[in-house]
Amino acid sequence: MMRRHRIGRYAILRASCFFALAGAAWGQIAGPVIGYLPDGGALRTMSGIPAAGSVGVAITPAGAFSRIEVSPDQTRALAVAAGTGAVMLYTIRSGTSVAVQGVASAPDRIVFSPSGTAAGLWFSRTRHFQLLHSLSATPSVFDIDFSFTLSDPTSVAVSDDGQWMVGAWPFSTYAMGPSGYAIVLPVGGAAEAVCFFHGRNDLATITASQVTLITDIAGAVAPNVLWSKPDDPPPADPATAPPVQIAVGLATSFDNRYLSVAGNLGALSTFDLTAGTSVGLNCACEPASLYGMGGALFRLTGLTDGVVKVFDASTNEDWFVPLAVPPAEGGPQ
Amino acid sequence: MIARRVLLLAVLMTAACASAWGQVTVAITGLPPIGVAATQPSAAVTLSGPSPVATTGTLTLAFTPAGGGTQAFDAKFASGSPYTAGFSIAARSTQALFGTAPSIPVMIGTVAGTITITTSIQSSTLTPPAPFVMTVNPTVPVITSVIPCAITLSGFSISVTGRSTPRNMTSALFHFTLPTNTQPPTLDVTVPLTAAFAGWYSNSNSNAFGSTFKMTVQFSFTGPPGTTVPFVAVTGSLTNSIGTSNPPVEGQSSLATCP
Repeated sequence: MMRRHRIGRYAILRASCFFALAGAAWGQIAGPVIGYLPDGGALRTMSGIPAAGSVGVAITPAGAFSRIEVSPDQTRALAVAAGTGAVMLYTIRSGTSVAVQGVASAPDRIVFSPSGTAAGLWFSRTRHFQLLHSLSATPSVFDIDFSFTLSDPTSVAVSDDGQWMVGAWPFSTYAMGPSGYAIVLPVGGAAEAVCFFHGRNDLATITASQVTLITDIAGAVAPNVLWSKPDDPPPADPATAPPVQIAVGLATSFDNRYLSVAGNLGALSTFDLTAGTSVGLNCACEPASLYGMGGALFRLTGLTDGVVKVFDASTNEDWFVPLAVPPAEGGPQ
Repeated sequence: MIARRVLLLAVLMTAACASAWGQVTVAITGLPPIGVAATQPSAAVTLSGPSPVATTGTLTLAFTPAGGGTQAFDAKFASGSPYTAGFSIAARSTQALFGTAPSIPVMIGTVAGTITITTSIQSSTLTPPAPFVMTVNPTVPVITSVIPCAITLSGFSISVTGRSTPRNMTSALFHFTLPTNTQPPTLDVTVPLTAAFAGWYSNSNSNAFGSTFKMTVQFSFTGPPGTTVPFVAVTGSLTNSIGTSNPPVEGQSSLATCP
């Protein structure tokens, strides 16, 4: 009986708590933001929703950065200071930037982990990679010497915990983790793109003929071929054969359900890893990569002819997002 | 005699050509008469037969919101100039090209109203079609996401993103599922929204967003010490002048930043 009484009292407290909750205070209404678009050394706000959005004016200080890349969670960016080449951490909400300590200046490539919790910097002139274990102004930095590769990687990826990076070269795909030793990954051929899953140290690779999932990179390194290209007969006349699509982007949705591939000629393929199905479309564009924008949304291109292309892997739809019409030209005030 | 036959042949050929040219009609195709908000169908310009001339033309888009006002810039073309799209028609072609593409996407936008697309063609040999009119009907609200966030010991907020094509909103209903052993097991909270959304949609800052919005509702609560999550699940639905969104959208965890 006593126990029942206690449960009943607890329930009353809960109910009263929600009686207070029923008097919800009014909050605020604003325009939704899809994300942010790097445009040269500036960031532009992409407003609205993907199917009905617009690209606004630059929000970063004019001339402050020579390049800038946005983290997939759209909250921060890594930028290169225009004057000094220093790597800057830019916080979008506050509009403030601070120099990132302990990293070299003027990286040639900036990559983020899938969720944007870690990052990496590639330096072509020294063929070094700096792995930032966290996305902060004072990160722990792991410096990796890839001078033996003699070339830039085709693709680079960083894990969300900042402990692992993977780099793909035409001759091998390497993983580098806490041990400091390079692990050659079992990828059948030259990987065109690599990516980690969100919150996991599992990764995916794509070559000209295979998509492979690799788990347990710290241990047994277990590959699982997700897709293999059928053995097509060689074209009768190679000169008239259709151009070969090369993967320029490979990425997973934030819930790790969708694994998408972007080809340089516009082909977009998505594997639903939960349902075991795949779909495809052509965006009629030339994707630069798959830049995560939260959820299953990816940016495909920069601002080209006044339009940015985005792709929703969960619905297999692509959208154009045009530049907003300036008020001076009759657009909304 | 020969001259007469040649003259007759010339007359017949001219008549035949004129007849053939006269039959070539131009149409805007690919677009539905009823436009669905937040979609991007593609418009094409097609000819009923081979074009007798090489020429160029322009599609011009205009949007008239059903609710009046100055929200005139919701629908757009996927081109550098959002309200005009140039095309070319090659001689003997039956399809206009927008650059190299046979069609151009049209952003329907998120506001109820009328999209009118007019065609102008440089050559007078081809007659432009009548303006194409597409209606975007007012519909019940559509919720894109419901995100609970910023949960503390005394309060939390719920962020709702969506659209309402008539550009009004009357209320939101949040349906909470309470923790196990709590009575009642569920609780519904209705938040009146008429005045708040009237203020938002009459603000010129909202025009650039069409009817899309991100609404954040703050909740406060008091509970037993240690209570940090006052509910285990929440769904949200919205009601506007047309009706209620359906089905209710389940709240999701997200990495989105809460305002």
